[in-house]
Amino acid sequence: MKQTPSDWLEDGLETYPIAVPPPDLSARILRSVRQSQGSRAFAPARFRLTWMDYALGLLSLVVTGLVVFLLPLLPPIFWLRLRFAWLLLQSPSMQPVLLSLAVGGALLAGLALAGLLAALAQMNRRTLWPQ
Amino acid sequence: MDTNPSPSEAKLIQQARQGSADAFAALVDQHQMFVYNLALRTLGSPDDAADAAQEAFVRAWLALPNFREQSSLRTWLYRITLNLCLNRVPRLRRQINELTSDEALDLPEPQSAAFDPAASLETRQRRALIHAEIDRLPEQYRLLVTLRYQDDLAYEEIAGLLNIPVSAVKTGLFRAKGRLRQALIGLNVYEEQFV
Repeated sequence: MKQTPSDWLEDGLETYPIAVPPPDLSARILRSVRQSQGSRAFAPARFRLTWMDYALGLLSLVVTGLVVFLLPLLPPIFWLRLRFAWLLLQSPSMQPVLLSLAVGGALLAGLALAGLLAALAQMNRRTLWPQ
Repeated sequence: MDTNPSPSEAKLIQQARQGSADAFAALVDQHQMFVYNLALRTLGSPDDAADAAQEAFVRAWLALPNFREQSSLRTWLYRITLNLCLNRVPRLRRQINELTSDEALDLPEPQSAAFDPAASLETRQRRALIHAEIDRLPEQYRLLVTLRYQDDLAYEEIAGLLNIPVSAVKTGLFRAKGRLRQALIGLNVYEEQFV
């Protein structure tokens, strides 16, 4: 039978051997599966720190440090103004403003909580890998 | 690849979904070679491939209740394995995406002249050379060759797995064969046909 170079190539591709896994692979897999059996009902993503976690940690550290170091350096007039503003807020004429702020804050908190709950529900329901 | 599992596999999937580790063990036995092979051809290292295969099966076990059998179990396992491999080799995703923009190589088609077996390398030697060259292909091409020739997936299935157009799969395979052909010319395997 006559063969062409293309036939050789196809033959080589079709006979490319499937690698045999190490003999203990099956046992390793089943050991891991049995260890993870308890977590199957709710399978959380594996804990892993990302660059975003480090960035947020660094930012929090810097902001906290700035607050700790800068607060004592603020001039006394700042604290007097702050107390004045607080007293002003407590006056009856500011009641509608305070009420609006409280309602707005509660609304935003409710929306954030609803979003969080929806995201959690979605995480529980979704297939980890699309089919 | 047929998306309908055999009755025995469907039963094993059902039992494993309900928590039977023994049923899952049977599924592992059926599919571990293909999963390991895919990981090995993608990652290149036997140790990394074994780790990836192990993790793929653990993830499959955890996600099995969500497996809706819209694809075959093997295709689903491949998807998990590929995602793990792509996480381990981030550049591979870019290389696969770049297949889309590849232009087909203008390769000379091999001539169909008569082949004299007596003057050629022995079939076994020739195959070994080709297999070694496949191992030396860049990861994205090796992955395509594995999915097409070892796992016998259709172009459409490969495109779906890798999330690239079918044309990119064809281009990638064409380029892979082109590279193999050129490598084999270099090794004088084609000498008599091209000179």
